[in-house]
Amino acid sequence: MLEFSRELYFSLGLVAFLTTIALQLVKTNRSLIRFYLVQSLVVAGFLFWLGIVEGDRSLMVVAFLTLSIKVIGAPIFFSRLIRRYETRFTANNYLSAPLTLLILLLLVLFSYSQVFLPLGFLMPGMIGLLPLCLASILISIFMLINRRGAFSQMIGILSLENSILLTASFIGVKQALALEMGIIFDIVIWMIIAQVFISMIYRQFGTLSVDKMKRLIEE
Amino acid sequence: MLLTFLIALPLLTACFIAFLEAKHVRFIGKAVFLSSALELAFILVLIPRVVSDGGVEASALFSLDPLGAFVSLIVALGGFFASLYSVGYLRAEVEKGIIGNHRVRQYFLSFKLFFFAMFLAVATMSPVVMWIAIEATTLSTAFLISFYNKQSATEAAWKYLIINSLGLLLSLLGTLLFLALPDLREGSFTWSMLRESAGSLEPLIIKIAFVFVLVGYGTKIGFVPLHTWKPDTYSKAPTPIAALLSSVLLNVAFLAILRFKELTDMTLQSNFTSELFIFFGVLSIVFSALIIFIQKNYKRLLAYSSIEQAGLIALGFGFGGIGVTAALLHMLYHALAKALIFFTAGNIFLKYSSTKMHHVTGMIRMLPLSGPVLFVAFIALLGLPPFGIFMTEFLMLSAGMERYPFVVAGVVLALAILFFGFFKHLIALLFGTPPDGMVRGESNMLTQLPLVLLLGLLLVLSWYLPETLSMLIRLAGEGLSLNS
Repeated sequence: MLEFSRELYFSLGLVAFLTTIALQLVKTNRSLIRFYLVQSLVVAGFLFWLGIVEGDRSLMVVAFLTLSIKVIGAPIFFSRLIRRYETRFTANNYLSAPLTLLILLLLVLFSYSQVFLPLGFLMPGMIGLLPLCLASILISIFMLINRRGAFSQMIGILSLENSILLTASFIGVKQALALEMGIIFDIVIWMIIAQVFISMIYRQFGTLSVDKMKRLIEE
Repeated sequence: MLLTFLIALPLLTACFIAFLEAKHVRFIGKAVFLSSALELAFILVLIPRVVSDGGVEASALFSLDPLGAFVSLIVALGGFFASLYSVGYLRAEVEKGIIGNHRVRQYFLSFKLFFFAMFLAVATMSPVVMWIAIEATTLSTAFLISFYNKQSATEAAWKYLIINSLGLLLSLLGTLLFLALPDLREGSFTWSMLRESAGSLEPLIIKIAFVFVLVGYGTKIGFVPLHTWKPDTYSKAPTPIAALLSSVLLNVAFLAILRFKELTDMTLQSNFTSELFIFFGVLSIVFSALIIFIQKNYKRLLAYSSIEQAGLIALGFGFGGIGVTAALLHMLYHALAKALIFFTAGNIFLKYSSTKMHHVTGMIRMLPLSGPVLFVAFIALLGLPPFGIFMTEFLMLSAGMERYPFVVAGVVLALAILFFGFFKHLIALLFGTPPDGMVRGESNMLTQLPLVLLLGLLLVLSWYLPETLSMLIRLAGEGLSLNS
């Protein structure tokens, strides 16, 4: 059972990590949504499995909420948004593809470096999983910096949130149900507000590329 | 019970406003002011109890300790003055045709939700609830920043939303790392539970966790280099909101970091957190000094002043000893002086319809109250006597003189540059020939009354601190002086 758990943890961590890499590289907004959906599914699935193993109903509730909000609700809303504004393609990255890949590699190496070695204490017997989670977090942050599209930036924030929650779940940090729901509620409100802003940006600038938002510089 | 009312009142007021039609805009304004006055009254009643009993408890997750009570006082004072000023400011904007009644209703609704989130953050004993509440402050203010629905305002609001959300997610990671301890991993954690387990925390993990917390909440404070959202947001948000972000929300974010600092100091028994505070403090002050001369927009100028003041506060906490008490007192004086100067900036905008400094000349002649008040508020913020900031700056810097003389010398030099930079801009704003055809006079009475009240309070508190308040500050500083 323990060996199976280890393998499952590592596999889920790996899938989450690969989705953050994919989110960096895809060209269409639809692909962004699909990979975000997969990443959220990993989080929800892990929470559900943990709930079953530990016999913790509150974890199952959190898993159900994650599933309904991030895996079902958010992608539907995001798809509608893309359809409404006919923004099939995401804005380019600031850096070229080879340079982006190079930085991704450096971020992965950094997450395996001595700096974060002490954190290994939090996951005894799971060598390699925590650096993978940290790499997902760093890559999500990089996505916010490197992507020109407002939509990509929104997905970047949500991917970062997924990576952090997955890391916390792997470590075994569990909040009371009310607090978990509080965090999810905050994220839902964030998604709604971000979508309203994306609509405002499109209406006012005619594009979702943050590159075109230069009014503050001009002033 | 009173603490529960204090937290619930802004939310109840927001719900009440949600059910009212926009045509009742005058009534909404009165309700918001009344609610803010009640919040201030509640906290004034609660403070003596906090001082005598060491805290006031509403439930396991909600109670006010001295530090929480002190920041609550700043929040309530900010709310009282900003609600009064907002009524007058928005009334003037409606009369000028800049906004309509619908916008005013939306403004006050978000305004009260913002205060609900802030009171929740300061009154909770749970680090996770605090995170949820501080994230809620970002969400409730996002629409206030894009209030004027212009391209530049939307751009500033988006920048604010993304940068602050990124920062707050990093602070969530830091918070969760603090909670990731073998004997603490489940349930509802409170600061006292964490303090009791401080000995069992792994020092290296706590160091990493604290860095995440400091960077995360430091983004909300606007420490350099995490400040990039600040000048844009302050220049585009309605002036009373910019005043609140600078004078109130900054202190709420400081409270979050200070709670973790206390915990980290207990675990590490070293200068680790103090040195980080000094690093960010110096960086913020020096950067503001270097950039102050090239500012063209007076609201952006105030944003850099805010960054500099945040740096000074961080320096006080970093130096420790008397610097901690001075930094706490500085938080109060800065909140009052910054609100005063922002309200004055609001009056300038109502008069000149521009935030660009080259459009604003001859203010001393055109604005008979706001002109002189701007001058006095600048004097206060620059740390000149007879204002309290002079004393707190002196005490903060003298606290670091023995251990960090070169840092203090560098900061004094930067403050001197800032002094000349601000003064150069101030002279340009106050004097010179006013625009042709401009009539001398202020806007409505409600845009003037808060200036007089705030200036009076700032002067009184600079010379006389009530016994209860000084006890509260002393108690609030006790846990923060560890390892200093």
